[in-house]
Amino acid sequence: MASFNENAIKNIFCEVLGIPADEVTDTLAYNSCAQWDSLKHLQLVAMFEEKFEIEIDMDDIIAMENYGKIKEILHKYLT
Amino acid sequence: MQIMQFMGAGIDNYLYRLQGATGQILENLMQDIGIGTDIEEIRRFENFRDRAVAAFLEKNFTREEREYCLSKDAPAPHLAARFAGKEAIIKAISSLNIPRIFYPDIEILNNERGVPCVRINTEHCEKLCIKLSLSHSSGMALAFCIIIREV
Repeated sequence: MASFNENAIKNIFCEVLGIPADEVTDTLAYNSCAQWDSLKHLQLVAMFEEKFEIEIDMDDIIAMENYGKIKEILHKYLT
Repeated sequence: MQIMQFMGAGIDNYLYRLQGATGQILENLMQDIGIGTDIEEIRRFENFRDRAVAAFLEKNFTREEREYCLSKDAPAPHLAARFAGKEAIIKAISSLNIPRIFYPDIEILNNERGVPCVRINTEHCEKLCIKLSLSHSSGMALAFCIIIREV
């Protein structure tokens, strides 16, 4: 299992969603970001799992509703 | 004349009660029927060899589903239709207030006549009759699902 690395999270987030890093804020949310739909959400989860060698619970996958929440949930797995 | 009025009232009463009973049956029936639909852009599945998409497929499609789709000359429409199918099934199941299931628990494979058959590998779903229809054009894949809870 890798350690918590906020830059790596943001890089994956930007790469999968195709969003510039300077547009990513903690409040950037699933339901207000056109690029962030269910398919991209699952790709994000798959990339996080692969990169950090973790398996994310279904409840946490559903709870990842904004970027801040993603960091919070991944922090739980990586510490 | 009075007899005719009496009979008319009787028929009205009968029809009224029949309507009430039918309404109740339909109401009960509707509580055991779930529907779901989804539409996906096929182009988003064309880069299935990219890291993010490949990781996503590995995580959310069963081995048999991946083998089936990737055996095709053009896998993308098959991958898109299956993903739309999984989304439609999840929506239909949610409308029945059944605890949420997740993509890898759903397997969609075609039978010998090409009809998509659904298997759900989780509890709470044993008594569900699931009918799924998949379709695609050159650009989009679509799925429609009806689920009947067997009582």
